[in-house]
Amino acid sequence: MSVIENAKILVIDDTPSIRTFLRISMMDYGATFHEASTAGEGHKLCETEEPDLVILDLGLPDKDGLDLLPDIVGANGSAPKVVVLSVRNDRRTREIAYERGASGYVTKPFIMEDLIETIEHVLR
Amino acid sequence: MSLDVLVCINGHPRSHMVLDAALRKLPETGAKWRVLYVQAPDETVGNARRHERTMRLLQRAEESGAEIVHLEVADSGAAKIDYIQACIDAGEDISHIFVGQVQENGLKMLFKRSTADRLARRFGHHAHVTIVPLEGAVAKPGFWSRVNLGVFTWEHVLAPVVAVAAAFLVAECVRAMLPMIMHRINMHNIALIFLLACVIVSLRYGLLSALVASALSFGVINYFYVVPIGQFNLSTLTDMINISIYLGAALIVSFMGGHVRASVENARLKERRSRALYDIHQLTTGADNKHQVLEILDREVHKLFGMDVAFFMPNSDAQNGSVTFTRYPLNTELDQKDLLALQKCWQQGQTAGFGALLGIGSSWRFEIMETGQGKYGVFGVHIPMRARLDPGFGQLMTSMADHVAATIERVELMNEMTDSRFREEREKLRSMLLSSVSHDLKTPLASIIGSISVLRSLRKAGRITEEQEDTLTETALDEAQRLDSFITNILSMTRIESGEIEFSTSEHDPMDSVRTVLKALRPRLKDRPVKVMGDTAGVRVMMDSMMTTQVLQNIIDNAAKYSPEGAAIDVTLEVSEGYFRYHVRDHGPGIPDDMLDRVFDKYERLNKTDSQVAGTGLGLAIAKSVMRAQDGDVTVANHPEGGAIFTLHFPYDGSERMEAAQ
Repeated sequence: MSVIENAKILVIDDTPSIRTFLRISMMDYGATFHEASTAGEGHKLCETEEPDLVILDLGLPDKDGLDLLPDIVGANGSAPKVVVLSVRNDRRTREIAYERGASGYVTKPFIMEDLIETIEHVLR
Repeated sequence: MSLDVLVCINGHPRSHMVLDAALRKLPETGAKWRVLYVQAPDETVGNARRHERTMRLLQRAEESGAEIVHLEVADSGAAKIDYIQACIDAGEDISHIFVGQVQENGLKMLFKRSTADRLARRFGHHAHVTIVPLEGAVAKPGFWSRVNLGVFTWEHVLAPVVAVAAAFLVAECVRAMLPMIMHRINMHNIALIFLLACVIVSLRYGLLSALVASALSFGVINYFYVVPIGQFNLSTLTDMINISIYLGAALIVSFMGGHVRASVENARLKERRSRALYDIHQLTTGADNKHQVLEILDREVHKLFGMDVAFFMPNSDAQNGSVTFTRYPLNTELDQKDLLALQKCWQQGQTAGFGALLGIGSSWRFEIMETGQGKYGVFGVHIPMRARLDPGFGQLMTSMADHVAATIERVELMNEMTDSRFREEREKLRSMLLSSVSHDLKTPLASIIGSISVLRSLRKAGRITEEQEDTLTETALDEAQRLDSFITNILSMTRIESGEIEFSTSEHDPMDSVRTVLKALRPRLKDRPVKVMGDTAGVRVMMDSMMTTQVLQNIIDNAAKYSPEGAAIDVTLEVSEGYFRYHVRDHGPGIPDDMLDRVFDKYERLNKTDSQVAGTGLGLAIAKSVMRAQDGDVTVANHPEGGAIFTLHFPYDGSERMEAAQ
């Protein structure tokens, strides 16, 4: 079975519909699923839940995802892997995301299979 | 400061020989040089051509890198010597002096040493003095050319007649009164009175009038005061001598007066011109487009010259061959010869037309407008028939043309700068708008594509529950609708802004729109309580009902979006103070104060990049445009008890209601 099974996954995205289908898909894979709609909420969950993987949107209402990245990656001993999920598609943003500790970058819109592939690659 | 070569010239027609000699010498030394142009005050009076030539010579020297020093003094020789002495005293190192020597004829040659000789003798040990012999004497301006005859009008004939008549009256009065005080009046005293009249006329009206006055007064004295009285005959030799002396004195006085007057007029003219130049400079400094500059110049230069003035701007498509010009003012008329002169002026970059060597036969004088950056156009002045050009005219035109060129250059540079800055801003804004719009389009798309792809993979795997299927389908559908409304908003914004949408206002019951909106929004509002208040029975408001309904729907939809599930929305209809208003109040968190005046700004969301809920950005901007197009407005405020209130204002004079009530 997939590495996603039994993984603890946190989604930080302010669009409810995106969280919805991600939840359905991740839970179907057997993952433990947490979600946050703001950077602050996400940061808190990172510390309490210690997820294996964070799926992070960049355009968050309270803070830019790029600025949240270093906080998440250095949050605790078992730092979560981060996959960025954003409409921003420029090379510069991508570079910054990787520089700040992201392990994967998927641009919106995307089909679920592609995201799963990236997540499996990152978690493996 | 060091100076190597000094070239002394004056108005002599062959002065160019001195300059040529210096120029031949220059390449060897590669020296810094200066041209000293000493001009006698009246040297070029009445000889515009020569002045023009000298100016060209100086221009040539300047183009070859010379510094020009222009002195205007009576004794040119002494001035040269003084100037060179001053330079040496100031520590300037003059190694070469070039000076022209005129061949004097006759006795003068024996007694008077030439300036060149004096220079050589005095500065020979300081510098190498090169004396260039010049053929022919400087033709001194004749006496007549010194006197500005000016324009001769009836006033100039009438004035001496009146003056002499007045002198006659005074003389008669004196004669009538003086015998009483035991004094015998004679012809000499009378003559003085007439002489005074001549002086006054000469100072006031110039030489010609003075001459008329002299002749008239001579006649009057001869007829009335010289024996035999009542005849023009002269009986005694003494009288003949006396009256001849009177005539001589009157003539001399007339000439002197005329000359003084001419000098004063010259000085006044110079003063007026320099003041006008200063004014023109001041005025054009403030101008910020070419049209404005030309307008100011046309007006001021016309005032200055008192002649028709025109500017000719080459049309940009033709640089070579026959160039066409845009005329300013547009109604300027040129004949064939004028056009030829204009072309020559443009092509050769030199003064052409009236009084110049190029384009002879034209009644216009054309001066090229040119700066270091290139030629900008041609400046033309229409010289009226019988106009007498003074020597300063050519110089004035050249400096005017230079000034115009410099001003146009400045204005064009400024425009270019503004243009590029504007383009830059616009590009930046456009790319920001594009990225914002692409975010708004892509976010709902991401939900749709994501949901459907999850649906597909779950189906494939054959383990989809009915609940999952419902949720995913709902999500995709919701987002598709959101996308649709966003695209509709963008399109209507574009159409409103480009003026494509036409508003057709007519009288409507404002309650109709509310009903339509509530019906349309029923699925969105679900069981949210919407309270509609206000008595508008009989009220008819001028509005575009379809557009107004759209705006109202947008605002009520927003109220639902930004307030908690189930919170009430209040819609109030109100008539007051010449307005009809819809108030829509939600019970949400309200709008931060610093955002209140920005929510209608189309570009406001640009500052937020991709953090905002899609599809919410343009609705209020559209509402603003629509309301403004109906002479109304939309405003926003926070309710003291919480929640935002959006208000639509329509102008309303109440008459409709009155009629309806009757």
